[in-house]
Parts: sequence; C-alpha cells; structure tokens
Amino acid sequence: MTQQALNAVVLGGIYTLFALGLSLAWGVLRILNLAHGAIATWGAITAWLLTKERVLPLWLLVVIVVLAMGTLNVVIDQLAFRRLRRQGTEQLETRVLLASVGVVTILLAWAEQVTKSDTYSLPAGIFSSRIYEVVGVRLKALDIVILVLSIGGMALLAHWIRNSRNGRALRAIACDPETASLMGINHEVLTPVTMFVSGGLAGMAGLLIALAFHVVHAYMGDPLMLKAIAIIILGGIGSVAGAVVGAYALAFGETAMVANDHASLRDVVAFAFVVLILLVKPTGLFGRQTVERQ
Amino acid sequence: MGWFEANEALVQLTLINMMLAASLQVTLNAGMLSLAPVAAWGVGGFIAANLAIDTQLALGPILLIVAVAVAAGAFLVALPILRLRGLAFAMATLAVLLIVGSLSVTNREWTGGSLGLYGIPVLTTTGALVVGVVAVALVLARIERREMGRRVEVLRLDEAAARTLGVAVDRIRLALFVLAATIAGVSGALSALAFNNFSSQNFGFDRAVTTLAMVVIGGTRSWLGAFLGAFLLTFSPYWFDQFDVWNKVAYGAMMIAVVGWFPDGLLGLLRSGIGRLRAAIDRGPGTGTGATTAVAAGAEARS
Repeated sequence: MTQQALNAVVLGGIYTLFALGLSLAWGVLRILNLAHGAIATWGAITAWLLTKERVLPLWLLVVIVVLAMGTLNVVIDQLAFRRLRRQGTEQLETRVLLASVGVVTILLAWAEQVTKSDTYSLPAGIFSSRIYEVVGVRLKALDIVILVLSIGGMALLAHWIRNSRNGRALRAIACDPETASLMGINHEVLTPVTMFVSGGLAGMAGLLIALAFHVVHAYMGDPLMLKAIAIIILGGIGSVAGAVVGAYALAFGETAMVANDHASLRDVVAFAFVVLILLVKPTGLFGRQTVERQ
Repeated sequence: MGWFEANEALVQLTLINMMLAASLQVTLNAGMLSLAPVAAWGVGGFIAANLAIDTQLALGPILLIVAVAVAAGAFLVALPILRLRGLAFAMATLAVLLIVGSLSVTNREWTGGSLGLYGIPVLTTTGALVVGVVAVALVLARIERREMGRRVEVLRLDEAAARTLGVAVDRIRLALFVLAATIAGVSGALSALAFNNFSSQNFGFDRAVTTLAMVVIGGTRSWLGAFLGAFLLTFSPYWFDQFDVWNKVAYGAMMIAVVGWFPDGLLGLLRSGIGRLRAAIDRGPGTGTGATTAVAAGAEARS
C-alpha cells in the first residue's frame, strides 16, 4: 500500500513537470501546443543519442536536455506560431492548435526516422542503482532524483511566476494582453522566454520518463500529452497549484485503478472526469473566472 | 490487370476518407473544432461490422441503422458538450474520442479487443462508395449555399453577432454536430464493409490528426476543400513511392504553411488562381478596364 503510494508520488512528479510546461504556454500565451508531447519524446531521444557511446552523468544530461528542448520550443514558436499571433486574435487559439498539429507530424516523423520505430532504454550507468529502505518502503535512488527534480522544478517555477519581475509581467499578459503591452510589457521578449521554460520542462519530463520506465521510443509522448490535457482541464488553465493537484490526483487515481485490476478502464475514467469538470466548472478547479463579452 | 483493379483498395480508402474529412469540415466551418466525428466513424464501423456478421441484412438497411443510431448517439453527446466553446469544446470532443477508443478496446465480444474484427462480409463496392460521396457532396453543397451558408458564416465569425441577427445559433450548432457524426458514422460503416476488417486502431488520435490535416490543407471553407485534401493526402504515398518520413514531414510543413499563410487552403489558392486567370483573359489586349473586371472575376470565383 505504502509502496503504491510512493509510486504514485513519483509518477505525479513527472506528470506535474510535463503539465506545468503545457499549462504555462496555454495560460499565458494562449498556445495549446500539441507538440509538447513530441518535445518530451525528443528530450528522451536526445539523452539516448548522447549516451549511446559514452556515459554522461545525469546532472549533465538534465542540463543539456533542458537547454536543447527549450531552444527547440522557441524555434517552433518563431517558425510556426509567431505569424499567427501577428494576424490578430480571431480564432487564434484554434489556428495555433492546428499549426501545432503540423509541428507534431514533423517531429514524430523525424523521431521515427531516428529511432527506426524501435524501443530503447538509457544505459544503467548514468545514475546510481542503489536502493534505500525507509520505514519499510523500497526507495530507488532514481525515485529520489525524480522527486527532487520535480519538486524543485515546481518550486522554482512558482517562485519565478510569483516573485520575479518577468513573472509578474507574465501574469499581466495572461490577464489582459493588450493592457499589458500598453503598460510597457514586451511580448517579443517574454514569449520566447515562456516557450523556453515550457520546452525545458517538457524535455526534463521526457528524460525522467525514459529513466523511470526504461523506454525511449517515438510515441512515448502521446499518452503523456493526453494526460496533461486532462490534468490542466482538471486544475485550471495556467494555474501552478491546479497543475500540481491535477497531476497528483491523476497519478493516484491511475495507480489505484491498476492496483485494483481495472487497468484497462484507467483512461476512460480520467477522460470521463475531464468531460464532467468541463461541464460543471469549465475554468477548472483552480481556474480564474473569466468574463465574456455577451 | 488495369490500373483500377490494382489500386481499387486505395480508391476506396480515398472515397471513405473524403467523407470523413467532409464531416470534420462541416463543424470546423462553423467555428467548432470537433474530433467527435472520428469517434462516430468508429462506432458506425463497429455497428455495421456486427450487423454484417450476425445478420443477413443488406447494405442499405445496415447503413440506415448505423445512421439512425449514430445520429441519436451524437444528439445525446451534443446536449452537454455544445455548451462549451473554443478550446474547451475541442478538448471535450477529444475526450469523447479517447473514451470511445478505450471502451472499444475493452469490450472484446463486440469489437474484438485491440486486434479488431476480421472476416466481415464485404458488402460494399466502389460504386456504392461513389454514390455515398456524391450524396454527401449534394447535402453539404446545399448547406453551403444561400441563406444557410450565410448563417453558418456569421456563426463562425462572431456568435454573439449571429444571435443578434436572429440566427438560431443553438439549433444550427446542434444540427451540424449531428450531421457531421452521421456522415462520419456512415463512412465508418462503409469502411468496415469494404475492407473485411475493422479495429479500434483505425480511429485513434492518429487518425483524427491525419483527417484534420486533410481538411486544413485542402481548405476548411468548403466540402470541396475537404475532398481535395483527403484525395491528396491519401494518394500521396502512392505517388511518392511510399517514402513515409518525407511524406509526413511534407504534411506537417504544408499544414503550418496553410494555417499561417493561406488560411483558405489549397482550394482557396486554386480559386484565386482561376480568378486571376479569368481576369487576365477577360481583360484582353490593351483595355483600360482590366482592374475592375479582375476584381469582379475574383469576387465571382471566391463566392
């Protein structure tokens, strides 16, 4: 029982990192980037490519993957989404979503090409395989790494959004982009910054998934993407607290379903819940109320 | 063996994809990004497959049953979901697709689990598929023209404005949602009855993405755009010698380019090209009124 709970906590940590990145871009920039899952996949593939011939320490891998995937996300935004934002707000969200479908297609085709649609795993030598026994629970070194990285990432992001100058600017944009830019907030600078952070989080989540489940393959990001959408709708778009609560709720729910032999119904329940939340409270459990022009 | 006999399966798949793409276009043109038709496609396919295996019904009655059942299901799903707008609506339809997909893997007796159903009697011919495509085209062309087309256009541009103009917004959204599901359901049924097997692999998130790409690349404004996109994307692996990776990269790049640069899709490009050509012909050598005829011809081609 305690072991199951621990597994859920570790899983929830990874879900949180991934969902936070998606939620940030969605909440602040109104970009629902369906390529987020493909970027996580590429985070894992990057780590796999780097460690194919030599063993790199885990911290170095994390740094490289975060920087690379952050940059990739900025490039995607500049090439595919920037033009749409400039064309005005009419149906902007839908058009950005459609463009991101195009991005997914390219990234996945490329991933299939590189991995030859096979499954790999990262070499065992890059992290310690020690197992600790803490009050009757087996705690792998990797579990500790995942917990530290996910909780650290959450704390850092929350601190950044709440207390830094850029974070305040981001919240202002999320509230009202037009007024924010009248107040001197520069979208041209803040958008790449946000996309960089979002991509970095996705890359890190992909790397951690690859480590925790010993898999690297071209489609590993797809289920993650669908879960993240459920998490964000559950928690409320753009809310850090909401993403954390949503991610842990889903992780505990899934673990409980699997532990009770209902593994095949896992996704049905998750998405039925999403529909329900959308209908009862479309802004999510932690979302802001928005006033719409009638 | 002639070209047609060798490639009949590809032709049939193209016709089926044309119907499915048209069903996504119907709602997208009214400002609703809905993936629910892909779920309806799957449900229709499974109903038809089971009827064909278990009963002696002919093609006509099976399609009728599928259409009624899928329309009724879509109506029930629509009641809660149509309250949503924009991305929330799109995500809810995605959730519907995923729920139907998961359930169809779980219900083994009815769907054959993750392997799907095999040995379905082949009751469709290419001719029947052509009739289906033509019927879809006729219905959609009727909707796009005249008052109904204008209503849908206002609805897409500004729902609040449409309401103030007296457009029955809720009724139109409901009707289009149910119509899209029905078309997709029949298309799925035809697919199950044409290819002898049907599985939940056929209508996952992948299929939704590919079909969406067809509609967007072809042009979201008209059923003709959806047909064009479905035709191009289904046939391109054949033309480009199955070179899979570059094919997909090309779809992706085309999709980004269309959304950002040519919002009316390939159909829009074609039409404006034809408009310009006509204008050039009308103008003839050395007349002064070229500009006005060009505008008139352009407007005519666009309408």
